[in-house]
Amino acid sequence: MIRKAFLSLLGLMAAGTAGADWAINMPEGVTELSKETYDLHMMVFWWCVAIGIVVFGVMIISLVKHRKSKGVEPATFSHSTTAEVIWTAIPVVILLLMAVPAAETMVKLEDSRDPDVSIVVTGYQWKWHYKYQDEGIEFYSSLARPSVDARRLDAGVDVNSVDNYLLDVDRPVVVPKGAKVRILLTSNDVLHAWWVPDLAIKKDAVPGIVNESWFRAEEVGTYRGQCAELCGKDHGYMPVVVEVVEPAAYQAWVDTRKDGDAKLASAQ
Amino acid sequence: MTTTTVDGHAADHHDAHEDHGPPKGLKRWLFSTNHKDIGTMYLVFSLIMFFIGGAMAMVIRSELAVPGLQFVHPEFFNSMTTMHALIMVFGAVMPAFVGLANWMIPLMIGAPDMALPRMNNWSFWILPVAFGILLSTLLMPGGAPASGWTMYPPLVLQTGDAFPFLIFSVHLMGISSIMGAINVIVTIINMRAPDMTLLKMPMFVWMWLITAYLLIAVMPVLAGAVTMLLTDQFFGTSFFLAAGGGDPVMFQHIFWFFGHPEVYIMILPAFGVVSEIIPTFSRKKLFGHDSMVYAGSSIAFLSFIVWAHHMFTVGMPLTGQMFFMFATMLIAVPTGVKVFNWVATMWRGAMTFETPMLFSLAFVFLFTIGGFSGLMLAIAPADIQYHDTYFVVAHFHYVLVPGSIFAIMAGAYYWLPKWTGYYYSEKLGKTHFWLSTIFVNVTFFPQHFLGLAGMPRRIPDYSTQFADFNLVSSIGAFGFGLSQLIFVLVLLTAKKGAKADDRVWEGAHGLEWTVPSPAPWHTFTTPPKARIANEAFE
Amino acid sequence: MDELERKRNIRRTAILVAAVALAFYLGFILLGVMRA
Repeated sequence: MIRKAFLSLLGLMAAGTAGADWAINMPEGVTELSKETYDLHMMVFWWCVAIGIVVFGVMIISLVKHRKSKGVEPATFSHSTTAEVIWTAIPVVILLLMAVPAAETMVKLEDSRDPDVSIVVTGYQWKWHYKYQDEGIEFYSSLARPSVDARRLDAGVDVNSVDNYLLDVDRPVVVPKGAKVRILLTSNDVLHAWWVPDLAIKKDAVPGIVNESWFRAEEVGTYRGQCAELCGKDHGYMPVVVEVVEPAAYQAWVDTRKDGDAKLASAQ
Repeated sequence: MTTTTVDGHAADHHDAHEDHGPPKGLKRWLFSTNHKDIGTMYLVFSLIMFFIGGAMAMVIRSELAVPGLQFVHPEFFNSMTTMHALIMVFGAVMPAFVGLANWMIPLMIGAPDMALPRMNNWSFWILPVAFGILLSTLLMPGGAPASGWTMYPPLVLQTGDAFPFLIFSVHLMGISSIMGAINVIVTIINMRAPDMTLLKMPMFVWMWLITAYLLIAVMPVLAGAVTMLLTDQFFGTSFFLAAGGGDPVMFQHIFWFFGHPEVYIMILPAFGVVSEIIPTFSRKKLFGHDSMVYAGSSIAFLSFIVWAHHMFTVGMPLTGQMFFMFATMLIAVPTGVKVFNWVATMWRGAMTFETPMLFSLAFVFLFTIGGFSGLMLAIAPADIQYHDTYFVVAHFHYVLVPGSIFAIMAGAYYWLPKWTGYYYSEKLGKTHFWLSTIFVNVTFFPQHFLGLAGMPRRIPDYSTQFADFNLVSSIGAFGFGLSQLIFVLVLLTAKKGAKADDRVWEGAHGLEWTVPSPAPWHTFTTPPKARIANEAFE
Repeated sequence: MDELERKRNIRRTAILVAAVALAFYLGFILLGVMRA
């Protein structure tokens, strides 16, 4: 009955599922590991659905049939070693089936050897700093102006009119498609976490510690994420934007950045 | 103080245990050493905290109803999430279970009172002081604590004047819980009716015994962690400060060594309550009594070796992540055993659906859904995506609200006629149940979707793509909050119903149902024979 | 079980449990001291 009421509500919602606004699932993402993560997520989800159907099914049958109002006499059994062994053993087997692929993916997630590009990411209250290790490029990346103007209490701006409200930055990270990008994470003040769902990366930025993670984006595009570890009042206002571009475009970006930095240096 | 010496103290002592009624007025409550009075105070206190913490949840859900900031500043929003959690965990859920333990454990094991009645008084009266201090931080310069209930350094060290008060109040809550736990253990070990062996104890008593051991082991760990925060802030140590050679991640390890058993502290007594109610209304003995005990103990043991599953993104060695993933998945086994045993208890019973049973059934359904999302969270690579999103918020609210809180409600309805001597209004109770169950799902189910779609937790404002489900969730939250007022109405009219007999419920078994309703101020001044109460089952 | 013996048992259990709690408190602070 509870479920019925809720399912009808879900039906109402489904009727309005036109845009991405009613998104109900994890994105598959654009890296091999994000797809593997998605598959793991779905595999466990379907196991849960299957177990749920069995357990809730038995319970619902019982709720319908075994009521006092139907004049049934209660049974007197209260123990069965066989049953206990069965419903201990079956879950163990199911768990093993889940654990093996999960462990395989985890080994890959941790293997950040031999990167093509290495970027040192430092968390600040409340912005990110990026430093490309070999290219000598570095810059801060903070919340984009339109969002900054709209986010205050009584700002008087309709946030629906702002493109990518709270998910846009002034200077995004640019990385080449198909390259193995290693992220070296640390923090300058409190804990932060660097998260881009489509790249399946989430790693804490901890002061005094350098954490590693990596991704290899297979598709060109702009991927948005946010700080995922409470870091003070503007925790909700330090997004992460990664632009994945063709290798040639990446090289061009690196060259203009270097030129720009050189001009800045000589002007000073 | 022996009774052989004839002095004033001995006479007073003797008087207090005579079977005349309780003292009148404030003194009865302030100086109470009676387990029933203290139990009542715990329950009333936790209800008040439930509404204060609930009001904070309403602030949170108001702000999150639509994108953009409408009502509060981000700092205050963070204070609200922090205080909501601290108040609900330490002020509402834990004291409610201690209240039920105070009332019911002595009645269930045939003891005249708790073993250490004066300490019992202390452990209650520390609580209002602790929460008075915690709530007063709302008025302090720099605002109330805003670093989350997890109090992670270095952020927590940026708290304003509230910081030492936060630490002090957490210490007080810990002391109160530890004293409560000592009392429960000592009572259960030493005060059982003569022929009640450990394995004959009712499931509520068993689950509370296990919970009390967990409390003894982990509340001091939390106290140790916050002590180290205090010395880092004021006395120049650097346990958790990277600049001084400390390690911020160590706090997380210590905190979750407390924090994970803590979640079982909040759910094991709930298992106990539900294991009392389902057999009663199924008119059938609890299936697999002993395996329930073993499952509870296994959960308690495993809870000590899974803490770092809260920290998969913190940068642990691969082997560590593997260990914590596998250990966490294992918890599904004993938890599953419990659910299967409840279902087997219902199977071929003769069920009726009074309010306590309805809440217990919703508990089994919805706690299991929380268990499923828990299993998903155990899978480390997937957890990296779920971590610190609304998926986690949905998960722990499913196990805490329709889990712990529904069990507390179920217990309150179940034992209310024993406490007051009258049946509550079944109509009001059922209205309360249905509204709560519908709205709790409207509130928390969409949060799964939000988390999967990428909404982080603990943010006061969000990207417009998350707007729709947030609005649904906020509507549900207000519905749930308002529905709880019906429970207050139930309590206010609790003595207006029909007179309850000793047994109260047709299928009820156990010592607590052999004493009159309402239970007199003193019960079991001479130990009963447990067998008498259980005869129907033997 | 006579009343005096029960009282002694209660006291013994209480002290034992309280000692365990104290040991956890001090033990974890000691752990912090050794790591830092």
